[in-house]
Amino acid sequence: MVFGLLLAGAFVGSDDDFPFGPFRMYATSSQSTGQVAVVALEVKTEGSDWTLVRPSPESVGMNVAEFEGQLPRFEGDPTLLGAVAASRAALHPDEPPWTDLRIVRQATVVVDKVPTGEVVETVLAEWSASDGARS
Amino acid sequence: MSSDAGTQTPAPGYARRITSAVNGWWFAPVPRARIAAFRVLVYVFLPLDVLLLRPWGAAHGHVAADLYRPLLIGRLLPLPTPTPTLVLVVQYGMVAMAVGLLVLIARDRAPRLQTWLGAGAFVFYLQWMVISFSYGKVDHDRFAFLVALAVLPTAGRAALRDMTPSPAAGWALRMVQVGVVATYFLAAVAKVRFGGWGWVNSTTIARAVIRRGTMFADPLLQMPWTLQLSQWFIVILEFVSPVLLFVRPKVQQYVVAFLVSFHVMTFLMIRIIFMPHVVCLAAFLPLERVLNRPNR
Repeated sequence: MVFGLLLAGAFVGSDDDFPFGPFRMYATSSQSTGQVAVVALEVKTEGSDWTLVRPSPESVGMNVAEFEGQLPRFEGDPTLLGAVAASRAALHPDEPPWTDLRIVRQATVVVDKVPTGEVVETVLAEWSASDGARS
Repeated sequence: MSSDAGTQTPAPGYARRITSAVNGWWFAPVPRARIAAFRVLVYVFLPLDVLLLRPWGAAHGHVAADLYRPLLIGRLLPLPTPTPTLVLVVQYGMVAMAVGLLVLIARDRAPRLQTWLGAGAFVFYLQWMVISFSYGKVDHDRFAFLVALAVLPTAGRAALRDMTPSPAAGWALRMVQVGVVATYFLAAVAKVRFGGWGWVNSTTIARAVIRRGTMFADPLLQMPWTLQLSQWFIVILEFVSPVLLFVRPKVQQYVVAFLVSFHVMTFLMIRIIFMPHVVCLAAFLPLERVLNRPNR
């Protein structure tokens, strides 16, 4: 039965069915020319300018892949970034709270499988403690 | 009459032979010392894994509940939303169980308690997986390790110097071996399912190198054919991996040595190593020989 579930998970399941989901480590194909993107956070504290923060278990309790996994949720509902600011405050109660938070996509341009060094940045979702969320 | 019966029903003979061959394969006896040594390996690795190598789940206790997206298993059971306390209890609870098991295995004491502690370690580790993987990312490097934690308590009493052959120990190790091979084979299936057959010619590894490449891998970006060749190599390796289950033990040992070096090389290039999986590769090795001289 276990192996039946395992095979079913691998062929038709999704990550949600863990431990029986598909074994998709680096399973997607990517194009030889295009962009290689990674998401990052930019934050403001009271009176500061935007600062880049790499999501990590230490900084916000979640890593880059987890932000990428929940990206559609953040884009659909930027107020969810308020929960990220709250997680930050829970992890680092002694540091100044984040007043503004946005998720950015940093894309490295790749031409014919070789990176050109050019990085394109796009804001995907934005939230402010004072006036709520902006997309 | 009797000769008719013989010609009409040849199937039971075949069926019996097939069944006995299958059972012989699944339950091929191994020395109890081997399962004891493998238990030591697994229960030494468990604390390292949850405290040092992949302790990130612990941070999830502080993450706001809105960001918890429980996996199907977490919704079915239903498991509680992680809090700092829950995370600590699970994390250190299973570390305590693993340490307790190591002491009991080394002294060959309290086999029944060992079974319960082993089952507890499996349940806690599974909950730890739900805590770790319910925030947007699921890892697939520890299926065989979960299988190991699940089957180890079933193998019965085993001392590190007990060379008595045991079919239960053989079955448990076979299950782990199948878990290891399934991980490779089904990873290839996933590549074809999600990436298509074109995966082998895509830039997936180049992408990984850009995102997390080391000094050993970065120069290869300028020679994309090397990365493409590795992709062909990986897919072929993964698809033929089931052969490993049926070759002679000596050959298995060479293949395991090769696979370990493959995983180490991957780590040197893109800083990714599936440690729980690598530990489970030891299920193919005659671990009992570390403490016991082979009979000559």
